[in-house]
Amino acid sequence: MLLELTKDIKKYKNYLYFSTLKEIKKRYKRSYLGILWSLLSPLIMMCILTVVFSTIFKSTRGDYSVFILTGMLTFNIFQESVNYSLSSIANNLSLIKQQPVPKILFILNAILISLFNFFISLIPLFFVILLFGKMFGINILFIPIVILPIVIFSIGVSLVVSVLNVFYEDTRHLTELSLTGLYFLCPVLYSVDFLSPDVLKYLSLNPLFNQIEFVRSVVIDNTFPDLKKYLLNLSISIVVFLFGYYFFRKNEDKFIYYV
Amino acid sequence: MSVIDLKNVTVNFNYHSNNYRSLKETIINKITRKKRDPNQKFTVLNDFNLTIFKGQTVGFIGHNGAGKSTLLNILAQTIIPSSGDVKITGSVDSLRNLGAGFDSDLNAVENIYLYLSLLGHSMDYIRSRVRHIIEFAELSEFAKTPVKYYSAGMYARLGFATAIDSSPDILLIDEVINVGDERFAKKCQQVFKTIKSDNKTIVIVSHDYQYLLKFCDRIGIMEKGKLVYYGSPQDAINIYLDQVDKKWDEDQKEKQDDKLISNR
Repeated sequence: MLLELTKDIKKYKNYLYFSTLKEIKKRYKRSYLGILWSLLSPLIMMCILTVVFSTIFKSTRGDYSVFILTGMLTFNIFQESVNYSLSSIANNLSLIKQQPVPKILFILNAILISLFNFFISLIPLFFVILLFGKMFGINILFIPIVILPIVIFSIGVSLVVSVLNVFYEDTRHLTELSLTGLYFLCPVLYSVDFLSPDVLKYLSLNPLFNQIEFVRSVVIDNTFPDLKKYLLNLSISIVVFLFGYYFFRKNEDKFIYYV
Repeated sequence: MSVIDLKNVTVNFNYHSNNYRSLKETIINKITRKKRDPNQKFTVLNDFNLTIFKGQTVGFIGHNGAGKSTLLNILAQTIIPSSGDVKITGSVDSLRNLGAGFDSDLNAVENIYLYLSLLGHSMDYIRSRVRHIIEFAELSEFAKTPVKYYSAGMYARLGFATAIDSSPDILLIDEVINVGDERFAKKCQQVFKTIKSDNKTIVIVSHDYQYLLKFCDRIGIMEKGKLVYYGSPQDAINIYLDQVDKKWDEDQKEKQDDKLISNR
């Protein structure tokens, strides 16, 4: 089954490239600042959250802006992948009816868009790091490796929600609520140090929870995450992906009857 | 050599399939172990058998809902049949819903890249075809204009030129025969003639029996998901026109009966 996926990616790599480019172009086509919004949005959001949490909630972290921006960007990989994937099948209905295309392309497209946004947003992150007088450590080069579990996990979840959304309209509402819930259950806005060991024990069962910490460890602490923890998370992500892939392949032939 | 071989193909649609189901309904049905009403299932293609040989141009005609478009979906492999065997030899492309897959915000060149990449073509191949497609569609002047500003005719011309360019072994056509103005329609017909003379297989679904008579080697009549006749074009059209007259008479009689009942 996975061999089929590799073949599809190889055959349709040009389509993935063009459709990702198309979506990125479309996203900013009518705005004056264009792609600059990809840089500005996280910065503005970071400023708002920093003001709220540093001033009102009196956060003691000196590098709170870097901390919050790293968390936000990492969580966004998951959030954007799921959001884009949700309606990707219905949005491509005319194509699905006309060509026997591998429908998984539309999900991979969503992942590529979110990855593009992540890597573009690293520019404001590096800017903020320099602004706070911090230096980049060599471990920052490991960003592509440390985001691997969250990317694989996002593909798995995106595959599942895209199938469910074809069959059940409720999926959209449930997904939106779940994403909001997950945002607060992950250490995006707060540090794990604030959590009591009991709470931490339960929250860390969520794979996203650790994955955000992994990115922070290479960006802020200049250390590679605990290898055992990293490999465990990677394994969980692979299991989620395999389940999502199996679920998607099992149901993709039924899409045409529903969308 | 046969390029299309359908054996006992049946396609069932569930009535539910046309509507979204709610999660609540599904969960309640699972808990109460309530099964779906079997009457909600209907058969679009019923034990359908068909063999088409390389180089043949075959037309299908029938009333609305006879299963013609579903047959094309089966041949395009966008629908997997509920049962039966489908064997297709060679590449397939469709002239159905021209411009499907185009993005209205992109221009003609970008859409050609997008569409041909979706067919799995390499960058070199796409690059080499763009100019030819634009010229065939007579859109050189508007190649960089987003297609949302195109007239319906321009859009259809681009869709036709892009779809036809991949020169598939089997071409499926659903009512899309005359694209653009008279002159461009003639150009399209010329293309069909070339494809036909290249020994490619063409399957056409249409209500335009005169066109089918002109182009097809064989014609099939479909009724309620079954192939009721398959053979000589002239005979097929005669049978079909008889059917149309008969149905018309029946409808008129039914209307008169209804009128009489309501007058009483």
